[in-house]
Amino acid sequence: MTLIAKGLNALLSPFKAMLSSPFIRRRLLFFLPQLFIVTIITFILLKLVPGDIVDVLLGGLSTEVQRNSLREDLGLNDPVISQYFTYINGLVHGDLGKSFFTGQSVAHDFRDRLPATLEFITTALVVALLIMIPLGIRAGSPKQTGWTAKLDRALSKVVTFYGLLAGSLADFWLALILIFLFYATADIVPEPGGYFALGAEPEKTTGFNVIDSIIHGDGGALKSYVGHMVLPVATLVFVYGGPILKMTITSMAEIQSSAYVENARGMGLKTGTIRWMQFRNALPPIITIIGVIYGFLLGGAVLVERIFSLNGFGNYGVESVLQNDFLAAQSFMLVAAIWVMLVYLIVDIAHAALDPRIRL
Amino acid sequence: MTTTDTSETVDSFAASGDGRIHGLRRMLFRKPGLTTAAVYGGVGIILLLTVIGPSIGPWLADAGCACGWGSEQIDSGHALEGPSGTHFFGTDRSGQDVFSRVLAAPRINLVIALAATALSVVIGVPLGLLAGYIGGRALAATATSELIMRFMDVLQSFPLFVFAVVLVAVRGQSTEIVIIALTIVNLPVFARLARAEMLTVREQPYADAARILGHGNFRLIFRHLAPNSVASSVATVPMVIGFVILFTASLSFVGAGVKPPTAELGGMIRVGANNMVTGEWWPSVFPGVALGLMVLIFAFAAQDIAARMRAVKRAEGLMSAETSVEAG
Repeated sequence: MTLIAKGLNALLSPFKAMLSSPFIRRRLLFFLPQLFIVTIITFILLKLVPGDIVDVLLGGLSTEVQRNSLREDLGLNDPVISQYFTYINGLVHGDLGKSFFTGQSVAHDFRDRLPATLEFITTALVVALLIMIPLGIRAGSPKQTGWTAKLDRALSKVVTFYGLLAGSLADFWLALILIFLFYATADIVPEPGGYFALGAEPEKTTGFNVIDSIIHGDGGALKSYVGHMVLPVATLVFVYGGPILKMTITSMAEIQSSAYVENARGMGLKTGTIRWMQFRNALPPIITIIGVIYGFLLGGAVLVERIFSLNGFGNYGVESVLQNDFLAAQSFMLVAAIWVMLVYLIVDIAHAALDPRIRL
Repeated sequence: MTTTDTSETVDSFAASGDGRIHGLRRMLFRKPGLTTAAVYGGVGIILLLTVIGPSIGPWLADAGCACGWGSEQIDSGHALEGPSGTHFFGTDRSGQDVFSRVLAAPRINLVIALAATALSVVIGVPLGLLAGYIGGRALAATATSELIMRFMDVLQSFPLFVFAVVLVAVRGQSTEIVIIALTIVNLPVFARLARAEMLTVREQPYADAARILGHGNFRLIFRHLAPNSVASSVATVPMVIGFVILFTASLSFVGAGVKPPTAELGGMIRVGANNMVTGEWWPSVFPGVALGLMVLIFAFAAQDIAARMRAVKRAEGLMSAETSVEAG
């Protein structure tokens, strides 16, 4: 028992040290006011709808009775301030409102849609990191001598151009091009959308498609999901791997000319060893850009989700807006904003963990 | 800083202050190399297309070429035909000429991009300067400064794309609303940059010198500090223009941006999206290439300016190192 406690303690002690750091405390303290402003903005956004929101939500064909009861349900007859408090009270209790389009509670819809998107963007991010970070390290710290030096210089040129190109391509356009090349022309990937014949959907436990099919040992489902994931993931990797690669190169290159790297080189340390030292110190800005991209993708992969008929969270957000389902849209914005704020919080904590100077 | 240092302070004020104003100018106009020439050439072509793009099709028609089409003209009976002598880039599913539409489209994309970027600079930079100048002083001022910056944080944490779609959906689909949505999206970028520079600039010796000479806050900010705090904002403008062009196209792609039949690159890609799955590539591919090229040119411009800024910063670093050695 005590052994476990000791082990736990050892595991948690860096985090405890972190919690006692003034920086992290200040940072955590900021979280609540930010949350407060976010709720105010989402609340106001709904008030910006011109005309009567009840008309918009119910559509043209509604009776006066329906309208009045909805108005009562939404508390629209109360003063604005108390409406805001009702809104906050609902949020605190996990009530995100009801979607008029799907006819279900928004929280329920989110539980349905979030896993697909999380699975999608996390896979894309991990693949992007596995490709871009090693490339960036190499291109950002080219060897000075030897036969690989030329190769490194060529690589850094190619990679720089790719960085610019990736930032200039519209992700939705690239997705269409990939569909044209690999589905319409070469026919080596399954048709976008249409995972299964109707009624043949596999069982769900966690909601994460790939994980579920592994749990249930459903090889056919796994194959279908993975096949459908290839192109959307490739799209995100190509477009959003660019900034990660660029940041890795810049950050590595900045350190390349610093005194301790020169010194290490002068002492004859292996390039690999020096690169590792360099990378550790180059990490903070790279983590920042990863955080920015991960935060952005939850709501920002919308277009790719739409094109590949991935029934995800972002798609739900846009769909609800286009269907005038503003209550669902409001909650979508809220959840996505909180997600971004959480990711930024983790980024800051990671910075503090990497760099003791920040913890002050 | 003791009073005997005043003359040196004023000297360094002259050196670093004027140096930085020159720096901004140098950053933009000095020594056009080959890349720079190419970049400005590319921007020039985009500007030219913005002015005459929509008229090129009709001109060709007037000149008696069968390839001349208006950007919203429909060649009925020839919908979804591949590239040919009469339709260089083929036709989309409603029979509009893709070539003349690709030439016409940059106008609306660039106008929206320029307007939104200009607005976010005009609002964001002063906000950032203010927040930077008043922060960390009296309590009320610090609170205001913090409030501005925390508000920017929150704006940046919103899912930008859906935020813009919601704004457009809520206030109706029009070019003005698209511009406003994009302005809000980019405000924080400029506010942050301006604030960060102001925070260092206000501690410079020449700021102290100006204060000692009895300049009021107003003159201090507008005459001395603001001109020296905008370099990084200016350097970011091309990148933001490129970003806004992409963003507008994305909005139009979901149908929340520029209304059809106005030729706009994202909207054109949307029209051809379903055809891509069945193998008719031309209605989407050509506008996509045009979109990519446009943004790429601005990306190159951004890179070019960033490189000059680094050079100027290096030169300044050397200069201020010298002055501090002299002063020390």
